Amino acid sequence: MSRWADYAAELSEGFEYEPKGGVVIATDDASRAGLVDLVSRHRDIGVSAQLLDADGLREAEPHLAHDLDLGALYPDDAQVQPVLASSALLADARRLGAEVRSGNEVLGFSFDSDGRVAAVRTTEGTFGAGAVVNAAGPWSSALARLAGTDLPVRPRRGHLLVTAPVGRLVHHKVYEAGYVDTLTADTSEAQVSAVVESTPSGTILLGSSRELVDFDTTVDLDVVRRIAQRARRLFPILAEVDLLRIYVGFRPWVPDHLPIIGEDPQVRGLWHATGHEGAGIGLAPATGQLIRAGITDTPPPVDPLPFRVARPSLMAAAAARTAHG
Amino acid sequence: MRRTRRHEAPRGLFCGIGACHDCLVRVDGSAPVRACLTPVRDGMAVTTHVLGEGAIVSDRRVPLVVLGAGPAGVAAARAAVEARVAVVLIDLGARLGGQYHRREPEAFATSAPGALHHGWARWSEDVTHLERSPRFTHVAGAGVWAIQHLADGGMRIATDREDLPSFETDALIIATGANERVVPFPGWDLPGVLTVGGAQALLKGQGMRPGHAVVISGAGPLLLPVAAALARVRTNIVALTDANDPRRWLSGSPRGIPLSKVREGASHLATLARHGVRLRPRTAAIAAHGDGRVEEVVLARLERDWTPIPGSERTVTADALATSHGFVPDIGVAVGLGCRLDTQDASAPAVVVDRSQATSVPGVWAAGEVTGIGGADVAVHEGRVAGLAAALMLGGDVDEDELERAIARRRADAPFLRTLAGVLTVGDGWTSWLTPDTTVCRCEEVTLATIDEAIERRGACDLRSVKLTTRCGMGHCQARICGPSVAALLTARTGQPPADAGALDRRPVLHPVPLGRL
Repeated sequence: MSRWADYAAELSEGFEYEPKGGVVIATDDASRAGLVDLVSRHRDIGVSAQLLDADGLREAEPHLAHDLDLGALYPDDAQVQPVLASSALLADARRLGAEVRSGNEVLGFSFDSDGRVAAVRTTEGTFGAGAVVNAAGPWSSALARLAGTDLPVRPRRGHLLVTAPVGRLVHHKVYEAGYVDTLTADTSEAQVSAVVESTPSGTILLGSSRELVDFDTTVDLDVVRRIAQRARRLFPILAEVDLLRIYVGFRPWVPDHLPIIGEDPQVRGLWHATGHEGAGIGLAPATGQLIRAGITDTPPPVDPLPFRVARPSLMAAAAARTAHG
Repeated sequence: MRRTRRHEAPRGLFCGIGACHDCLVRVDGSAPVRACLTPVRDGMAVTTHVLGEGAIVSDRRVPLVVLGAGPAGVAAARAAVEARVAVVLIDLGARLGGQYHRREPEAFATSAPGALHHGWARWSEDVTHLERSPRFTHVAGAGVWAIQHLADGGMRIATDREDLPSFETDALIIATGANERVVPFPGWDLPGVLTVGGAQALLKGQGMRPGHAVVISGAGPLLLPVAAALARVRTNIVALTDANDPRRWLSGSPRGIPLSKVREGASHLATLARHGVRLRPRTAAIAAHGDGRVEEVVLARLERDWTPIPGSERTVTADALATSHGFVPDIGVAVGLGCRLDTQDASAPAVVVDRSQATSVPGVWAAGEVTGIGGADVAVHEGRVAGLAAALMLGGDVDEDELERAIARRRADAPFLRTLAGVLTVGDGWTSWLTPDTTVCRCEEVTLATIDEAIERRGACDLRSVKLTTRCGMGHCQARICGPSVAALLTARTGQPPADAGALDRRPVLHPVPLGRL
């Protein structure tokens, strides 16, 4: 996370970096108990977090519904505008000598006599490479298949609502405590819980939904309505605010909810950096460092083992899929 | 009327037809409403806009919905109703007519309502027939904010009217018309600069002139009738300029312009001459200056491609500038439903239809300007074809010969449409009117410099990436105003039209709707 702060200071292109902190809010008795437990587990692993009572919540978020009286503040939570962040990093990569070929589709791979990836074949020609990084997000399984290997990454659809610009009604990134449970409920039926935040451009972003329904870009008005209802449960003032845009997008989901970062055990020279689901932007800098350490064979910033491609939790999921036919 | 969020810059009436959202106000403490769509009542408390307006309820199913109450929509509705198919017609305006037959609100009714309108007799006959039909429902003052395909082939229509159930329909005719195109220039975001259509709306709707000293400048067929109407009510017209040379078609030299159109143009010019107003061809307002509102307008003579001729600039004093540069089809609904587009002109994509006005999506027809700019007469011909074709599919009482006759009549418009396409051009040279700090997207106050940075440094190479990196088209009007300009600028900078033409017209929320009404 702190790496984003460094980028914000270093890069000449801005990307709306906001170290504003997150607030998680309990909306019913079940989530109250869950939240107290979550905060204590987070503190045990060194994440700063503190519980907030009714007054604390009011001070942090004046427009919250008055009956809400338990929450938790995560002061280190930060936000960037993902498209600006990506394009800023791309601009920097270009300055450092990278060449960007957009609108160029990968058609397949070529291998050397040892079966190692040697080149990428694209619609604009063939590019020889000692290493290829598969960072195709929800499409990374399709890319892996072109190289003759398998990844258990599937698209998990989400709806995001954007309001008209209204200024700073919301000061932190505010999550409903139920959000944490929806992360791991892997169903095709839409899981909805509120995530609400203001942006520097004055709009308010309302999420979130999660459903495993393949690459279907249709806006589901029922999901839209449910997100609006959950968000209004936290901030009743939103009833008056205009909805302006809806985005439908796909997160790269994996069965054990951990990113896949490392070299493919079957296809040497092919490195995967995928499967972060909704955490890909936040974890992008660390992912880049892990991949660099792997390719250059230098010491990694964190232990890469939990993220390796051939890990037991993914093997088990793959075995279960095969058994089901 | 309101101030912008970022620079707190003042805004006045601009488009006058509900597209740009520059005129948001609160009425009696209500959610913000567009002043240009809201009739004034005695005792109304109108205040400056600050916060968030819109409905979705029941499950009624109707056979046919027509979107848009202009010439095409009304002709389509009439044809379907005559074939004994029930029709629900939805429009943002309070009364039938759309932008073309815009009428005074009842409260301001003048003694001769037809005096300011063209083709009034045929129009009144259609309206009277419709309003008497038990099969016709007019849902007035309603914004459709979403349309969703249903598994059974129908569609669900969600409107922003609190009392109106969202409802289902078997078939849809898109007759959403066109928006005025305005190319940006320094100072076009000052209060006092408004579209030519906005000036017309003020005159027809409110009986008001846009200012005391008015410059009318732009291109396209709306300039002359609006200038003539303003001259008739003794407006002080400081200058009237067209960036193209309308004498080309007024002389009747290109084939296909009906004599009636040439006569109409000549009659407007004669009216203007009687009031001492001369049209300056190949001339444009390329900048407006003023402190808080328009005080001066810079006029320049233009090359054929609209590049200003150096040294030809001159400054005139004016408190209003009415400007627009033609029309672009309002394709948002069609894009949302997945209808195929003709993107040959990336700045003005149009909906592709077959001979019976059917789009590429089953159950969806399109008629009028949304299929390409052709004017009210062509729109009526297309509306009739669409209404009959939809009615035929829905099992209505349609004689196939009648449909064939309607199709033949529409086909006879082809030479006129070809000529029109050659006349209604926007020269590429307008991009040289802008300076780096010129606002391109009015809602989000995005400047040319920001767009150039996105293209040159961030690698934005299509409309979607320009939008996501600059916020162009992300504001209240959702690219209705800036969309064509952004497409043209991107084409000029990259040397090729964007691969995703039409992307800025993809609006999952077709009109802003308050979260409380979902």
